Order: sequence, then C-alpha cells, then structure tokens
Amino acid sequence: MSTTQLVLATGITLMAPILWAALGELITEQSGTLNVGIEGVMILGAFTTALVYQRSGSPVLALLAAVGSGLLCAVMLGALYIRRGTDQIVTGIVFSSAAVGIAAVLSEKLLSADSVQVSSLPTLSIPLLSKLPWVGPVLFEQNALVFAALIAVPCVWYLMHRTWFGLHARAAGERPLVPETAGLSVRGIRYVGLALGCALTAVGGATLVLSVAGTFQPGVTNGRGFIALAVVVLARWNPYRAVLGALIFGLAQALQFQADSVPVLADVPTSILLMVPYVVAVVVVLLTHGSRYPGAAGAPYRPRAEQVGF
Amino acid sequence: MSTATNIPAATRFSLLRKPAVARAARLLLAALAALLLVSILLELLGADALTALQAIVEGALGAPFSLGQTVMIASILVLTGIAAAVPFTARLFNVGAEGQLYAGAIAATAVGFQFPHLPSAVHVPLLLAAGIAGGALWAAIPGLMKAYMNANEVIVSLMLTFIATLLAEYATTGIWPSGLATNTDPLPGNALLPTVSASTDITLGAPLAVVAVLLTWLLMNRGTLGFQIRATGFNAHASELNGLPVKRIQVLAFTIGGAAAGLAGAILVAGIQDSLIAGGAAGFGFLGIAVALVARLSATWMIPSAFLFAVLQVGSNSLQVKAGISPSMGAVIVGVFVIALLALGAIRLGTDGAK
Amino acid sequence: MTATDDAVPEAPAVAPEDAHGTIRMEGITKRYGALVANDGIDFDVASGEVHALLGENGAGKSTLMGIMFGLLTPDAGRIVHGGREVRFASPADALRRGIGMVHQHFMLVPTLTVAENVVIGSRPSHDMRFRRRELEAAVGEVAERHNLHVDPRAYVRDLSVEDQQRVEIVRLLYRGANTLILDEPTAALGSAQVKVLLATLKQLQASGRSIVIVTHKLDEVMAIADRATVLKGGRNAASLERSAFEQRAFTQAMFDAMPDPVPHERHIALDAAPRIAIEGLTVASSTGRPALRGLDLELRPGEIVGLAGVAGNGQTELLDAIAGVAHVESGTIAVDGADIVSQRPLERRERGIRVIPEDRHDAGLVLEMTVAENLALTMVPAGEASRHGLLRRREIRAHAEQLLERFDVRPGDPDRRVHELSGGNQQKVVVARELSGAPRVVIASCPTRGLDISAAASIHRQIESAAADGCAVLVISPDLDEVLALADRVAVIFEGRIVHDVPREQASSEAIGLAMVGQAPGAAATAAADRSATHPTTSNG
Repeated sequence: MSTTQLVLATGITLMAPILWAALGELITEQSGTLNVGIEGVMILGAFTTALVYQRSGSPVLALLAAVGSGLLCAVMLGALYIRRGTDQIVTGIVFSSAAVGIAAVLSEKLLSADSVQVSSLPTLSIPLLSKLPWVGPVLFEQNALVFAALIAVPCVWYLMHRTWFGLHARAAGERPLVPETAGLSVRGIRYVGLALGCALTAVGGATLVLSVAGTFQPGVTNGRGFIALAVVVLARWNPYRAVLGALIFGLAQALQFQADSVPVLADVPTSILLMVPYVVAVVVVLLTHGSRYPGAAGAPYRPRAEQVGF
Repeated sequence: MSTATNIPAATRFSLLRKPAVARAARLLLAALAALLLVSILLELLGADALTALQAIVEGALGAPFSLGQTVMIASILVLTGIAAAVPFTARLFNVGAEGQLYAGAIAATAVGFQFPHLPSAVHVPLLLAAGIAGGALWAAIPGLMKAYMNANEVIVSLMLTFIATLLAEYATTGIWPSGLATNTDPLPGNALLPTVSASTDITLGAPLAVVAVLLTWLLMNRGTLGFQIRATGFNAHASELNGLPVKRIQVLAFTIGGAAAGLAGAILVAGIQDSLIAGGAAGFGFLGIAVALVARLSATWMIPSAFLFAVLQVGSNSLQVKAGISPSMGAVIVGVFVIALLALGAIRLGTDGAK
Repeated sequence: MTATDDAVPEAPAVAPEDAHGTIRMEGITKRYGALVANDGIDFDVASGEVHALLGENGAGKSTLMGIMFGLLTPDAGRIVHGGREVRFASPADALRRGIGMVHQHFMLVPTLTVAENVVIGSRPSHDMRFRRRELEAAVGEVAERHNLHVDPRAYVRDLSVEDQQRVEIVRLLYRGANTLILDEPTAALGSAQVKVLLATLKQLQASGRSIVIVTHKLDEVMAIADRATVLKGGRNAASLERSAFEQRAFTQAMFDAMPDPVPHERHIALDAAPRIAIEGLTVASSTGRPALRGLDLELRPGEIVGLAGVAGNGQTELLDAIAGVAHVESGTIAVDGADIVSQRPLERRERGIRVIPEDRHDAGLVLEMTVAENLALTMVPAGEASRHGLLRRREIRAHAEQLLERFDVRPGDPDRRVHELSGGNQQKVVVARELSGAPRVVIASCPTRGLDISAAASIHRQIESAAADGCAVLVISPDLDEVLALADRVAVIFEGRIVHDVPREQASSEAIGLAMVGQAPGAAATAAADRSATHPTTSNG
C-alpha cells in the first residue's frame, strides 16, 4: 500500500470508536440530555471488553458485556441527569474522571499484566470490492466493528427520523412541553435516549480495545469521548455528517502512526502530531459556532405535575 | 433550577431548617454515603476497607514529609479550585484548568531556563508572573470564543487541555530535553521557590496559595469586577439592562480563572517538582472542579476543601503498598463523594456563587 | 369588519342537548397562594356554537381555559361533559374527550415538519415505524378537508405565524377534537389574515364543532360569536347573547368605570423641547414579525404619559429598544435632541434613561444578591461606587439605606438578599434604583403589578415626584386604572403603533377601551393634533 492508502486505511480504523460514541451522543442530545460523562462511559466499555475478552476469549461476549456496562452507566447517569436534575456538565465531568479512575483500579486488579493483550479482531475483506484498485484495501479491508459502525449510521438516522421513538425524542429534546401535553413521558423518552447513547458509546470503547489498541491501559480513550462531543456539533446532529467528522479525527490520529512514512511529517515530533486531532476539534467548534444545540439539551425537565403554579 | 426541589425529609426537624445546618447535614450524609460505597468497593476488590482508609489518612498526614506534600498539593488544588470557581460564578464552565495549569508551567519553565543568571529575588517573581500570564492567555481562548462567538466553552477548554498536556510533553522532549523522556533537567537553583519549612519541604507556593485565596476573596467580595461577575452569573439579562458589559465580564472571568491555574503550574514546576514533568499535573486541574464545588465556589472555603482532596490524593499513593490497590482509587473516592453531594442536592449551581 | 349575521349558520344536525357536545363548567375555583385566579366561575359551551370569552389581563381567562383543556386542575367546581362529570389529568386526557386548545404561544416543535408536529403522541399501538408518507397524506387530507392549506412536509420553523396557527388547528382536528379553544388567536395576525381565520372558524362551526375564542378584540366577537362571557377579577361579569352584543355593554363589563380626574400639580414644561422623541421606531419581535411598526411618541419634561394597551402589542419591545437591548431596525429615539439608538445600555443610563421592566425577577433584579448590591447594580459598571477597582462599601450601604428609607422598603436592611423580600418590596427596590440619581426619562412597565394598594400608592407617589423634578415618565400598563391614576396624557398602543393619544382630561375609558381592542376612535394623526391643541390646559397650580 502507498503511504496515502496507509494513512487513509488507518484513519478509517481510528474513526470507528469516535463514530460509535458520536452516534450515541447524537441520540442522547437529540432527546434532550447533554452527556459529558461520555468519556467515562467509553472507558468503562473499553475496560469491560478487555476483561470479558480476557476471561472468555470471545469478542462477541466481550461486546455484549460492553453494551451491558453502557446500560449500567445509563442507569446511574439517568438517575442524576434526569431524575435528580443535577447539572449535566458538572455531573458528566465528575463521572468521567471517576470512571477513568475506577477503570484504572479495576484493570490493575483484574487484568493480569501479562495477558492484557487482546488480539485484535481479524480483518475482513469484502469480496470483490476489496479487489478494487487503490480504494479496495483502504475501504474494504477493515475489521467487523468498523463496518458495523458504518452500518449503524443509516440505522441511527432511521431510528431518529423514521420511527415514533425518534420523532418523540426529537420533540423532547427541542420543546419537551409539546410531547408532554400530547400525553408522553418526557423523562421516559430521555431515559431511552440516554440508554441507547451509552450503549453505542460503550461499543465505541469496545472498538477501541478490539480493533485499535488491541489492549487496555488506563487512559486508553484519551479524550475520544470528549472529541465525540465536538463531532456531534460538527455533524449538526446528522449521523451521516458524523461520519465525516469522525473521519477527520481518525485521519488526524492516523498521522501520528504513519508519520514515519510521510516525508513531510517525519521530522515533526510525535507530541505535536498527537495534538492535531484536538486542534482540529477547537477549529471545528469555532467554525460551527452557529450550529444550534437541540433547544432543550442540557436542561433538566420537570413534568408539569411536579411544577408549582402555572 | 428551582430552589424548592429535593429537600430531604430530615428538614422537617426545626434545627435542620436553618440553611447552614441543613447544608452541613447534607455534606455529612454525602460523606457517609461515599464512605459506604467506597468501602463496599474496596471490599469487593479484596482489600480491607478500614486498612485502606487508614492508609490514606496516614499516607497523607502521618509523617512530616507527607504532611508537607499534602500541604503543597492542597496549595495547587486551592488554585485550580479558584480556576473553576471564578468562571463558574459567571455561569461559564471552565473545565480546562488542567490545560491552563500546563500552560503556566511551560511559561514558568521557559523563564526558568531562559535567564539562568538572574538573582532569585528577580527570577522568582518573573517566573511566577510568566506562569500567571501563560494560564491567563490559555484561558482567554475559550473565554473569547464563548463570549463573542457563542462556541461551546466545555469542548474548547477540554480540547485545549489535551493540547497543553501534549505541549508539556513536547517541552520535556523537544525544547528542554534531558536524558529522561518525561521531564526536563531541574530548573536553575535561583529560579526555584524558596523553602518555608525545610523539614516538610513546604515552599513559598503554600503562602502564595493563601495570598491567592485572599486576593480572590477581595476580588469577588470587594471588587467591582467580582461584583459584576456575580451579577452576570446570576442574571445576565438584568445585568445587561443595568449596563453591565456582559461579554467583557465573561472573558475576564475566564482569564482570571486561567491566571490562578497558571500560578498553580508555576508553583508545581518551581516549588514542588523542581522541573517540568510531562503528566506532572496528574489531574490537579480536574480535581479543582471538585474542590470548587465542595467549597460552593466560595474563596474562603477553598482551603479546607482543597486540603480534604489533597489528603485523598496524597494518601492514595500509599494504597498500593498498604492495601494492594491502585492509587487511582483516589479519583474514584473523589468522584463518588462529589456525585453523592450532587445527588443529595448539597451542591446546586445557580444559587451558589463565589463569596 | 362588521358583523355579518347571514353568515352565521344554524347549529348543524347536533342538537344542543346532545350529550356529547356540551361542556359545562360549574363553580370553578382556582387559587395560587393568596391569589384567587378563578372564583366560582360558570362557563359552558354548547355544541356547534362559537363562544367568546373576554376580559382584561388577569381576569382569569387563561386559568379557566387551562382547566378546561386539562393543563390545570381546579380547586373546586366540576366539569360536566356528555352528561357526566369528568376530570382531566392532562391535556392528553382532554383531547381524548375531544377538547383541544390552540395556544397563544404555539405548542409546536420548530425543528419538526408540519406532519410530524401534528401526529406527535398519536402512535398506533404495536407500530414502531413512523410511516412518514402515509401520515403526511393523512395530515394533508385532514387539512384540505377543512380548507386549511398547509404543506405537511414543510418545517414549522419556516412557516409564517398564520401557517403555524393553521398547523395547530389541523393538529386538533387530526386528533379528533370537536371543541376547539383558541387563545388570542388574532394577537399575532394582520387584518387580512384575521379575515381568513374567522372564515375558517365559521367553517369549522358549520361542520358541527364548538369553538371558544379568547380575545380582547370586539370586532371579532361581533363577527363570529354566538354568545360571549365576560370575566373580571376572576368572576363572571356578564354573559351576553348575540342579540345583546353592543360595544358599550362589553367595555362596561370589562373595565371599571374611570375614576374622576385627580387634580394634582403638574410641572410640565410646555414650551420646552421634548425630553424624549421617538420617531418611526421599528423593532422586530423574537418571532421575527415586526413588534413595533413605525411608532411615534413624544414626552415633555415633567410629563407622565400612560401607555395603555393589551399585552403583546409591542410594549416589551418598546422598553427594550429604549433601554438599548433590542435591535432597532429603523427610526430614532432622541433624548434632549440627541439620537441614542447607537448607544450602549450603560451610556444610555448615564444619560438618565431608566427602565422599570415588567418582570422584576427576569429583568429587574438579581434575586440572589443583597438589596444594597441591587441598588448599586448600575453604579458599579459606571464606576460610581468604586475606588481602585474596589467597591466603596460604606457608600453603597449609605446609598442603600437612604433609598430604603426614601422609598419605604421593608425591612430596611440593605444586607438582606432580595429574594427574601415580599413582591411589593422587591418592586420598591427596582423603583428606588431607577428613580434615584436624577433620571431624565423613565419607562415603567406595569410598575405596580401584583402589589397591594399601599405599596402601589407609594410607587405612584415616587413616580409623580420624579416627574415633578422634570423627568419624563412613560407608564406602560394594561391596567387602565393605573394609567388613568398617574397620567397627564393617555396613549394607546395597538399592534406596534400609537392609535389614540389624548390629554387625561379628555380621556374616556370607553374610547380607550375601544382603542385597546382595535377600534380607534380617530386616526393617530388627529390625536396628535388634539394633543398640541389641548396641552395648554395643563398648568402649574
């Protein structure tokens, strides 16, 4: 493969974890919750994957366990964000740092050092397409979780735009009073949105372990969850545009892995290359400063029945 | 956020109707809940909870040296607490104190190495000023972007934290390389903060943190700017109608927070670690958020709050030896405690303000 | 517009006794703390009729309708529907029984399409899939059947106000409503659009539906209502059959008789140039429609002008534009001859412009700060209360103590947080801040809303004394009593313009009441002519 092909192929692989998390956050935000705890959900998903994979040797079981860990996070976060109505930004940040801590503690205790290594998922070659000149090896020789992430994109779009849940979620995220007066439970809708979001985010963590890092170490997510927050803004809450956003970050991260083979980059220090995705995120947020969050995202909702007066 | 929500049943008792008593009760309840959860967690991990908690306290306060270390870490946390509290008071979420701390640390290191022959009396103030400026500038970026372009300050300040962390890493390898990969050579002796108490290794950083608290208190409670920061945070609409320059105030609130974090960075390199260490901030910036919340954004409460978290932070380091648990347990204890406080409604942003 | 009797169809096939069609509300009472919003109100809607509900702001209309469509539960009284007593736990409950409401602030999600908005909450059981095409077709069919032309696929945010209103009506029809409550449906419409709406309502009536129209505008009542109920102060004030419809009957029931002109000393500098002259002021509202459309108004030094008008006719935007926080599209605001439109709020305050906003919690006060701090709120950015960047606390305190005494705020403790004060004393804090320190122009919106008589009287005295010192005061209030009690001159704002402007002595509550509901007795131009002709009648006693 040429250097360009290599950077692209790596970029697509690295895109997958961010894309999963961004798709999850998109659902959560559109239903009216801003989950800054996403980084914590992702790292717990990654840890659970490594743990179950190490104990069972089954990537499928590991993936299912990751989904379970995501749902568990949703229960805890939902109790705070939705039931107690705590400040979502502060709660999310604190949850994230606690989760990074607990993942570190547990990994030291439960993942024996010599067997932390998780063998990566096998690369799948799509018949025929992978034989295409140039693009074949870039696009069609990836592992299953990368393909699954791409398949999830239209699924999330369908969920949000062609199911009743999606309609009600978007209404709950924009003007919760409307679905409530129509007889729906805004909190119920938001719990589901948060659960779906956390589950997909945890799959992102699993993808990180199974297809990118091939291992779990504390801090493995390295801000990818937070980057997903920026991707959602860039994507303006559209899953297809989220692919583009996640790919930008994937490519930015790929630079550091392929720097040696790119003449221009060979002399750039690794730390500087590592900065690229974060710099990109700042620029992205700056360029998309006009994009509007869902009207009610981040604001806890109290049903009319619990409100005093009119 | 309504103030009428979530009053626990206990407030039916007359004594608990007093806000201060009710608050103390919630704080205690949250601490007990956190203690219980953490103990269960420790037992599940196969450690004896009592031994582990004892190890934390002894590790932080048991010996003069460890006490000194706790005091120094508390000084850092006081400053990162201020870095969170001042912008929070203006209802701006500065979650990037960690990055601002690194920016200050790098600027201070630059001054430290740049002028190796300056006398200490000039060098140290210059180094501290550089740290303050570095942190302030780093914080001005999200502040300006928020105020004038309505960019999400949470994402921007987080991303700038990752960038600054990597800049520090680059500084230790690319700008001031030493033999070791993760830190620079020690700063020249006349750039280092003088020691206040030799037996405990407490340096000028500790009194400086106290001075910063006094200044913050003065700013927020007696200063015109603090007055305007509070007013803007509580009610931006009324503030604007009354002629307050709301956007400018928002930028300044962010910048002041960054200055405190930058000072923390300078103290870290010149008063604790004596060199710039990649990863040396070890989450102090993020811990500042917890410090600020438990202090209810109040400058005066910042010192006990920071001390509490410093005990957890320093004490956790001895968990490995004493109980076979990763020092990261410290972060977990902090998180559980703060989340318990949030869940019990002991911390409510919006009604709290720096005072 | 005139009433066209021939267009009112006979009640269709459904008889008035039809169990399903009639809704009767009996003895409805609803309290909010000490305030009794509804006090034993009776109201009923017969099948197939258009029933108008009239009353001033605060007369209890919104509360009554909120109870009728399930948003609020009454403290006493009962609702009988279809011959049986019913209880609505939620709007969804009421809608299941065929009662729905078109709100003044539409209950629509702007980021969703018309069809999506219409069908929210109507998921058929066991169907997860949102069948977009089918639903769009169904929504379109309901809309066309009632001649409500709207594209089911359009996004609501792209629609005009009247189209959004149509979506609301389609939503109720789609959900099977046969009783439609419309809250001030014409408040945001132009006259041509009002005609279309009224025609639509008649059509709906012809198809057997009952309609309750909550309104202030008499010509609409005249045009389509079969019956009218007037509320005042939370009670039934009048109930009129169509045959008894007469302007005078309505205004007498809605508004109290005008108090006699109170002779008080006036200090209007008649020969002086206007203190504030507003010309052609045009400001967009938050919905993008013009809220002020070329408003002209002049105040002389020492003059108190009462601006009457039904809420939502541009009063808020006028205050914001003068304070400097609204975007002025065109027009000028000259204070002592100098245009201030491009000045920042602080510069305007330093020029002596003060505002007492309508909502003291949202715009007037920082509730979490102390009384002294609130009184110093505007001094601090102006640098009047500080030295070397530090607050001059003793002066701030002394200033506060002096104001607390002068304005009789209780308790007179400057260190008390404002949220601990009663509503009346909170308002006095706002008034104290705005009227102290040589104001030149004061815009006071509903300055005594929700206050008891003595607090209101004391605020009125302060406003009068500010005027005596040469300040021009504009008192914006939908409360005619307040306007008439204070004003030297009365102007009426309707749909973003001044439609009536007369000296106090010539003001009649009837003419003002009519102007407030869109029946201006004379064009604004003649009013202005009147004004210049009649001013000399006021003189310094």
